[in-house]
Amino acid sequence: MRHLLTIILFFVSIGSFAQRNVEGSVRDLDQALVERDTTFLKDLLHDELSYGHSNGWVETKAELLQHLFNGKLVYKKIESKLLTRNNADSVTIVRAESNIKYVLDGKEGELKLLVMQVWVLNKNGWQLLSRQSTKIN
Amino acid sequence: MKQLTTILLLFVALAVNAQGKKEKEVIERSYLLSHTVFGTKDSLVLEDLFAKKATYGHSGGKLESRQEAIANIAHNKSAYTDTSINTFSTLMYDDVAIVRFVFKATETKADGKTSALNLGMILTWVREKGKWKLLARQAYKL
Repeated sequence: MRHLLTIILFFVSIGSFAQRNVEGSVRDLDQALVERDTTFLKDLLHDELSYGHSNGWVETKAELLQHLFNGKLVYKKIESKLLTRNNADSVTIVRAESNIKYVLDGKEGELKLLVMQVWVLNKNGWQLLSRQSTKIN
Repeated sequence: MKQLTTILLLFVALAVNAQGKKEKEVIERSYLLSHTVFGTKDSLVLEDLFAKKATYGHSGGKLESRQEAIANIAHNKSAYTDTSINTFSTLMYDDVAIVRFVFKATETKADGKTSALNLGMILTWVREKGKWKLLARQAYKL
C-alpha cells in the first residue's frame, strides 16, 4: 500500500512538473536576462526563437545570447506585471507590462513596454518561441 | 523492397504536402486578416478569423480582448490606402504558426487628416476545428 502511494505521488509530481505554470518560466526568463545566465537561457529559449524589440529589431536565439555575452545589450532591471495568459493545446500567450532599465551600446535607457510572449511546451518544459514588445504611449 | 520504398516516399510526400498546404492556408488567413482590419472591416469575417481566446495588441501599447478588438475594428472610421505587405515570414511549429510581416499604408482619419503607417506585425495562429484561428496579434512601430 505504501509503495503504491509512493508510486502515485511520484506520477503526480511528474505531472505537476509538466503542467508547471508558465508564470514560473516568465519570471525565470526576466531573471536570466538580467543575470546574463546564458546557460539557463539556452534551455528557456527555443532554437527557432524570434525576439522582437520595441525599436523593430528582431533577434534570433544566437544573436540574443551573443548580444548579452558581449555586452551590446545589458538589462539592469526587468519588472513584469502579468496582464493575460491564454493557452491553446501546447501554446501559451503571455501578455505583460514590463518596466525595463537597460544599457544598449553603452547608453542607458528606460522603457515601459507591452510585451507579448509565445511559449510552447515540449519535453524540456516551457520554451519561448517568439516575443514582441511595443512602447506604451 | 522497391515497392516499400515507393510507398514510404509517397507518405513522406503526402506529409510534406500537408504541411505545405497548412502553411499556404495560414498565409492566406494572414492576408485576409490584414485586408479585413484595414479594408472591409467585416465583423463576420473577423468572428471567423479570431480564436475564442484571442488577444489583440496595438502599436501604442493598448491591449484588447477578442470582443473589444472586433467591435473597434468594425467601428474604425479611418480609411487606409496605398497598403502594402512585405518581408513576410512564417514559422510552423506543430499546429502553431508564427507570422511576421511589415505593413505600410496611408491612414485617413474621419476628420480628413492623413498619416503614414509603418508597422511591424506578429501573428500567432492555432488550429481550431481544422481552421487557422488568430490567438494573438501584436503590432509595433517601425
